[in-house]
Amino acid sequence: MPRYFFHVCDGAQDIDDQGHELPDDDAARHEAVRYGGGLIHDDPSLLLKDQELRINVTNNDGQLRFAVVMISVDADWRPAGTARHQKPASGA
Amino acid sequence: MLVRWMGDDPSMTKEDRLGIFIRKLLSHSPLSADDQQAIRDLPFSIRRLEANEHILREGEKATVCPVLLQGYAYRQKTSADGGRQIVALKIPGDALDFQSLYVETADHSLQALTPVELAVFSIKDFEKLVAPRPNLARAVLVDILIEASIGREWLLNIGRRNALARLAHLLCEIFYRVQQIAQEDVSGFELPLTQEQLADLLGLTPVHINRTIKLLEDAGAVRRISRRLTIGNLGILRQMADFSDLYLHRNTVSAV
Repeated sequence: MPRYFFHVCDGAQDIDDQGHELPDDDAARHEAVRYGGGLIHDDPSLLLKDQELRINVTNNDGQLRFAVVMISVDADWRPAGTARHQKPASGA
Repeated sequence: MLVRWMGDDPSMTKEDRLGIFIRKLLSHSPLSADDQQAIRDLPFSIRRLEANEHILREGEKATVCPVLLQGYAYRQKTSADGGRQIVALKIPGDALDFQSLYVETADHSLQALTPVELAVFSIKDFEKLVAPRPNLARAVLVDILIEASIGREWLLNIGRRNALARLAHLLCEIFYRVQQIAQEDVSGFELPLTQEQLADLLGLTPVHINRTIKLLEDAGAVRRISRRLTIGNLGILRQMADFSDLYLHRNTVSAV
């Protein structure tokens, strides 16, 4: 089975030098998403502090296969159908 | 050098090998010399199994009452999509299936974690032994209650503690339980679980377990020698886990 390395970048870089054997890219991608979910679940401030958590997944040759990026974005979001000057229906 | 504590010296006589089981019961329940002798007089056979072999399967009706003399075992349940959860860890001296004395069908699977040696009693013999002996019946009940208490702590651990505290808490528990039953110094003893098994026990991914071990290692709480794990500093681990051994009910023994 191929070996995948899961490097966490959350401002600092945490290099995975052990790696994990997984059947294929799909399984590794699945693992990366669950891993990211676990990290965010443990410490939501990872996103609040640095705005971004990135997991770079490399193969045995050190080649980047894919990355999972979790990001929090502040934006002026409003429920559909409310004009910019209107308050949301549930708002005080 | 890591110590692999698997139980008492296996070279003693067959009858003396029950000593670890009686010690386990005495750690939470007072038993008279007569009750202790009655256990020793019960017929049993020794059964050896390799790691991962089944001791009992979900849905089966138990006919025997196995006690772990050597090695480690676990209870597990699986979800429809194949996810596995290790729901209990049993260490040398533990009775593995007191539950089947009272309920007929196994609701989980019981498997060897390492190579194991079991003392196997007939469940009928054990029922006959316990029926006229209230202190022995109470010891069986207390054993079941303590396992339930450990289960509640695990629920809190998996449901609410973060990965670092979660792993630290489990390691503290294993160390306290092993230290209590072992008749020797077990500092530097090798934890019997692989990273994959820790993941299935703690509800984390193996990758997350690896990172968490690294963090514990950096803090000096654990030591890793090749892929094997031992406790480096119990004080730091306890602090990280906010560990209290109250739920293990280790000091509940009153006078006989």
